[in-house]
Amino acid sequence: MSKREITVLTDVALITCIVQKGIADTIVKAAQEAGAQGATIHYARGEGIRERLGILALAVEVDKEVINIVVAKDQADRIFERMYIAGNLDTPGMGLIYLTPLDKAATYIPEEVAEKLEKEEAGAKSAAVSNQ
Amino acid sequence: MFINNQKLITCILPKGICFDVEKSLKEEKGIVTANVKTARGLGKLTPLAYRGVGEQTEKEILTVTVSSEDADEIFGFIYDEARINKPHGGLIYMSNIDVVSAYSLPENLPEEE
Repeated sequence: MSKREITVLTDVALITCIVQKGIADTIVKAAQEAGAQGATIHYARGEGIRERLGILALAVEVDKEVINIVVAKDQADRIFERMYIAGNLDTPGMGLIYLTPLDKAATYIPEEVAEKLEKEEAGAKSAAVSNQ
Repeated sequence: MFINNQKLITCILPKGICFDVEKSLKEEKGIVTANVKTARGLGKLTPLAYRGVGEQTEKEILTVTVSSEDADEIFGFIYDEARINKPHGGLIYMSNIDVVSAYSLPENLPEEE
């Protein structure tokens, strides 16, 4: 039986953003400009403030888009803020965004990238040993 | 009944793979707490982006709740079954859950066709 290795990413977080249908692409573009590598979007139906707005409820789309973006923890705050601003989430009824820490993540990592990371890690370890 | 110490494994895959993974989870690991939803996705490595056809592709999102003890094993199992370790193979990640309600299927349930 062959032994398989999974290269896992540990310092990662998930940004989830729930907005009205049609707005997701703008927010994803802002996230990509801030450094996000990709995004997944699915549809949902939302309830909440809409039911209490009376005739004004017409201004709030019932269909929602939910954006999921996995980001490195050191980039998370910047991307989170850019998405918040791009989606005008400070306006009541526009949507919601939250950040969830992840235990680990895994995806395809090209061999040359994995080797580069291993070398950097080994270099950092040897530097730490020589400093002791 | 509520269960503590659970993990949520989420897997974003190209369209058409999730059903087979879900079936393997049930048959080989006895897991019936998997859900699948459809989505669209984009990334810097999206193959269609280079062909001028469009930037987004159809995706499926598989979510599974598992116990903390089994989480790493199931994570690896899904990683292998879904063939994530290839270009455009998708993404898998795991997060903590505080509480999950117990879920089981009735006995002698006929197999889904």
